[in-house]
Amino acid sequence: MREVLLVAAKDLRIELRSRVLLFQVAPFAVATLVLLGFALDADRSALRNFSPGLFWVAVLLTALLAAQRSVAVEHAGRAADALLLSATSPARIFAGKALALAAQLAVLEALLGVAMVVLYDARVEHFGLAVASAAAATVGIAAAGTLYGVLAAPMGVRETLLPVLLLPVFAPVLIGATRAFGDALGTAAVNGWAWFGLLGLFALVYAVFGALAYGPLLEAEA
Amino acid sequence: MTHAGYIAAGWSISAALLVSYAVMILLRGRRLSGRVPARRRRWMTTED
Amino acid sequence: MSILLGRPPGDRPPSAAPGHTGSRATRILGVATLVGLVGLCLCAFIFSPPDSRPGPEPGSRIGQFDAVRLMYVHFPAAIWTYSALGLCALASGVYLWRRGVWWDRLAHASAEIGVLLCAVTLLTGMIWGRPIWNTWWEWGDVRVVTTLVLFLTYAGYLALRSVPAAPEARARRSAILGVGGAVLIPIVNRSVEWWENRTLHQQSTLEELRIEDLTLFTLVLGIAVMGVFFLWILIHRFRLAWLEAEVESAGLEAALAERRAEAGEVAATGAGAGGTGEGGSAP
Repeated sequence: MREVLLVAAKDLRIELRSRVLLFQVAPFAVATLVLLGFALDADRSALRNFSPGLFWVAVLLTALLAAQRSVAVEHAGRAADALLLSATSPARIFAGKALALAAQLAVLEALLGVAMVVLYDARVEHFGLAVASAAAATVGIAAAGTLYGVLAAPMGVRETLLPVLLLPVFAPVLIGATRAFGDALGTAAVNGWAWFGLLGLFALVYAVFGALAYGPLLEAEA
Repeated sequence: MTHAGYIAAGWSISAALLVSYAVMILLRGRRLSGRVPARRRRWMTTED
Repeated sequence: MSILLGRPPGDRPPSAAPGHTGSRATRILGVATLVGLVGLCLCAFIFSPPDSRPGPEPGSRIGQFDAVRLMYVHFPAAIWTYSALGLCALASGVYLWRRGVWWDRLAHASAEIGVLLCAVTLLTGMIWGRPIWNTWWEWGDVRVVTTLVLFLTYAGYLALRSVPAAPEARARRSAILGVGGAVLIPIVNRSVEWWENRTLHQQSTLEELRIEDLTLFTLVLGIAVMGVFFLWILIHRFRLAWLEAEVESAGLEAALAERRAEAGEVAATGAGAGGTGEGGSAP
């Protein structure tokens, strides 16, 4: 557990120093929301109705960037080699990097959530459901993003390959999180907690799969 | 026959896809075969 | 297994036979495919009846009529899509477990054919859906949406495979992705099934299709013919993957030999100039 936190802290510290998250990823996220607003003709009721889906589309596009960042910091300065040499088990490295990515995504989601309320006039009716389903979705996105980020990493075509690999994986997250938020924001009459369960299942499956697959992957890199 | 246009389109698109893929595979196989010595092509036998 | 690659060479004399990926097995399968295709066309277009049954109003008929003939391509293609991609996931899993290049090439071959068959499935499905469901695309049908995600997932797999990389590393990454597809698809299927329940679920037309004897026979024949074709093209594709790997490693060896020769030359001239005689250490 300590090693997991160490890996996570390392990634977060790099992120804090470089400020890429603050100056590049966050503005991209908000700009996406604004563009989606233009696409729907800034119709107030349509925006409010579709705000769950638009929010999660923005989150997933942002997550692509964040996942690429998470791999790029390993490649710059050959940090991956140092991690391998440190004899930390691959599963723990995976958990640490996924945790760091989840933490960054959580910050971005909070920002996007405020922007959604302001720009789309969304009203959060069930705060607990919104937070719980966002947390489950974030863990799933972070686990899948960390794993597929390394899959697509070292080939000089990361920018184009990662979205191709990752976006189909995000399909169930987009469906589940949109429906859960639909309940939480009162735009859809569905059982949001059932969708929370699906998001939790996705997070669990990809966390386990990623932890198992990370070892062979890192070997392939080395 | 009802829906004749749809049926013709469906069958011909499928046939075109599958046949062109098969032709591509066979041609690439022939081209690459010339660059690999026969003893490394295990399915080759003299009586064939 | 040995059908894919043939017998081991043993003491056979080097062959002077023409270069191709065929063998007796593929010729038998190829002829069987062509014969089966003729039979399938006869059954699909001449012997089998159009789908129609009495409608609710007296004298009216409902059903798919002749559009059911598209099913004889669509349904077998769908069956073999799932089989091929399932085989890819299976071979990927075995590769991660046993690390044999066989399994990697089998996964590659079956994924490529699976994606192609998936495209055929989606296209024929859309062409069938236009007259029967009155839309090219039906978001309300679980299988339709899941199959599209399946297509995108394994198209990504092929994209990853097409990127040049060290064979071992590429095999390992691809294997993880191949298994990942199998992990993903049940979740997608589940989520789409819940998701589309919010709308009035359009019942799948296939289920309400009253299947006549000859219709059923033609469907089964289609599955069999497509299966023989799948096996035929799989063997050819597997052997092509084998050849590609051979050419790749031969190219690598040639490049290495060239480098060694260069190094040897440099070392030899160096040795000649220096006169110490130690420069020729490069093989």
